[in-house]
Amino acid sequence: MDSPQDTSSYWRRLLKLDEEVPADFAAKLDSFWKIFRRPLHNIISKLAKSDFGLSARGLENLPEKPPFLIASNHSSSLDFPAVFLSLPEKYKKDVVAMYTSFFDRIPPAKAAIKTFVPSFAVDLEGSFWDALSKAGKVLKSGKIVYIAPEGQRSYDGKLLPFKVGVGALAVETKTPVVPAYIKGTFEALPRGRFIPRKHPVKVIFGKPLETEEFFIKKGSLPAYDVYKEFTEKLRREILRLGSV
Amino acid sequence: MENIEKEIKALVSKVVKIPEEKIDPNADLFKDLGVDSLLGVEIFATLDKKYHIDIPEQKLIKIKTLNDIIAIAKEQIK
Repeated sequence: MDSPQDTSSYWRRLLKLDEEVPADFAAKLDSFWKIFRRPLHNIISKLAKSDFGLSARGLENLPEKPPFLIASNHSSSLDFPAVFLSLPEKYKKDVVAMYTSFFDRIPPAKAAIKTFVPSFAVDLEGSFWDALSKAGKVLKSGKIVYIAPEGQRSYDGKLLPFKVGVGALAVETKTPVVPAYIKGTFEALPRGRFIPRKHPVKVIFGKPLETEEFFIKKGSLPAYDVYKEFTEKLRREILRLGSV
Repeated sequence: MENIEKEIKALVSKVVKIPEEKIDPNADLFKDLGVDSLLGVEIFATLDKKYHIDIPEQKLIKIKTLNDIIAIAKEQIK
């Protein structure tokens, strides 16, 4: 019910969450590059094991079925591949990634991303509402969205503040968020380095954070405060996973 | 209209938790006053709730100052 304090209707309009989602919405985010997906996954999976000894913990925490969000720390271009390759096979066909529009300017990089996974760009220089609204529609299509709430790679491997957009997206779509902490990718491929060095990489998945109670809280608090509270909770949980 | 200006200034002050007297109407809310861009969205969400002023997404990135907000609000109220 709409309460006098609830300011979320404007946020919902920006996120276009009340629009109908076409049945083929998520499929249209994929490209013809997908024909090379299986061989690329096989090659990168072998490299991940041989050079990075990729391992995962907490896979039992993943919800049985999508939709859900996976949110992690971000300090390396290897982060998304590490999370993706850690997932059990049954989830992989449903994962959609967000990437920075910077890569749209580098055709081989864009092709590599599109080959690896269905994805869409976040325009960091313009409005990012388009990307968040796409993410909302992808979730409503029953998919899994990977997001890096810091909005950029960390310069020193330490966790940056989180963008509140992740909270708005999760709370307004009432989607659980699986927190994940990625260890070792910063050492393997930090900012400014182009060739990865061998280093063990581990992905730790936490229990999903539910959003229902936050959705209800909007009746008594400004929407931004609710989204921020959820976002801070998510950040604390990711930090905690990193210290385990 | 002058009343609207005062009301909007009070509303912005309340949302961003900065005293009214510290908000220079021409200061960049985000760069000079350190307002988080999404907290800026909450200003517009509150305006929408209170005055039914619907600021379209395309205009969001152009709004920087309190005076910009007031100008948009006046335009919408017209």
